[in-house]
Amino acid sequence: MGLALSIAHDGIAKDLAGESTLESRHAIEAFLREVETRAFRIAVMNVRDRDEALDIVQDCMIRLVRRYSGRPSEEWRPLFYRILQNRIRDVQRRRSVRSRVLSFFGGVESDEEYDPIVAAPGPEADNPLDQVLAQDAMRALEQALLVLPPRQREAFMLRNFEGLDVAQTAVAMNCTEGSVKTHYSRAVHRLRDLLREHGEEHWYEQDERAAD
Amino acid sequence: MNKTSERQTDAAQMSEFERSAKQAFDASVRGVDAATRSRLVAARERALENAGGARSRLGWSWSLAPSGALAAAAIVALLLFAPHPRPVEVGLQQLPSGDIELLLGQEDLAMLDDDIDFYSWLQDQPDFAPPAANGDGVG
Repeated sequence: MGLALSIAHDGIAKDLAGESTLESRHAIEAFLREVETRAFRIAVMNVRDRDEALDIVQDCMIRLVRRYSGRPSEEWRPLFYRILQNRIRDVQRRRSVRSRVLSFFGGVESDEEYDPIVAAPGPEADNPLDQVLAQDAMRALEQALLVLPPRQREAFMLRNFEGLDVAQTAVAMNCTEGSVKTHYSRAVHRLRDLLREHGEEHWYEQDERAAD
Repeated sequence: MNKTSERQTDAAQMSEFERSAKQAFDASVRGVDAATRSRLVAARERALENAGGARSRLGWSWSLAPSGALAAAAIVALLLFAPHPRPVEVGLQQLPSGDIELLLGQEDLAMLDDDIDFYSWLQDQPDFAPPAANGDGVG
């Protein structure tokens, strides 16, 4: 009798464990679905290479699932973006070492130009005129972002593009909330100045409209 | 203040410039092509499949614990009894300044060590021989 009860109890426990595994799989899958395309765009903007960006996002997803899927779901977003920022920095670091080695041996690495295919609109884009305007505006913003110091760029992308709050951004950037505020505020001012200096009407017209 | 109301406050405090930047980014996300989206879906599936793989790999690694301990003991013995060669001194001044910067940078260098485990595991993935044990844990 005792044995039968114990077996029945084990069966229920296994069912519950199975259900909870399935639930957590669905939860993390939904989270990844929500962030994957945005993370890809951020990676492309930083590394300027579509395939490398896809690899980065895939690594981030694998790492998040393997290491942090057991954590509370509200921690996933900052953790995911922390992994993303680390992977981007890692790629940039390797690239910089590679280019130093190449230049030492007299090799030439191709310039990483703006890639129109990367910026080409997908099927869900808005109407054609809006698309062109939005693309031009985004291209200008991307170029300006590349001029910023890396930490300011990270802060801007996480706070503005991804909508992380200050505390989440601090976790993602592995720094204090005060640093996040400083980096973000400097990034906004610098970007605004850069876009104005380069005569990007789309951006400074908005500032003027807001001032009126 | 909860997260939703914090976000609402953030949005309300955004300048016109910040709002436009966010809209431009959102539009660029909507514009990502179907081929890329489908590669992202495949990557997501792969990541989710790997969740189960990690658990079974842990079981496999425990079965190798005794032989691992034996190997570690052999290495310690070798280190204790082998004659020590004179260490070669390399001054920091001999390294290129960029590399010094790289080494002393504030970035999370632990991530590089971390990656070595991760990449060797990843390299093993599709056609694998049993992967090597690593110290992957939550944290």
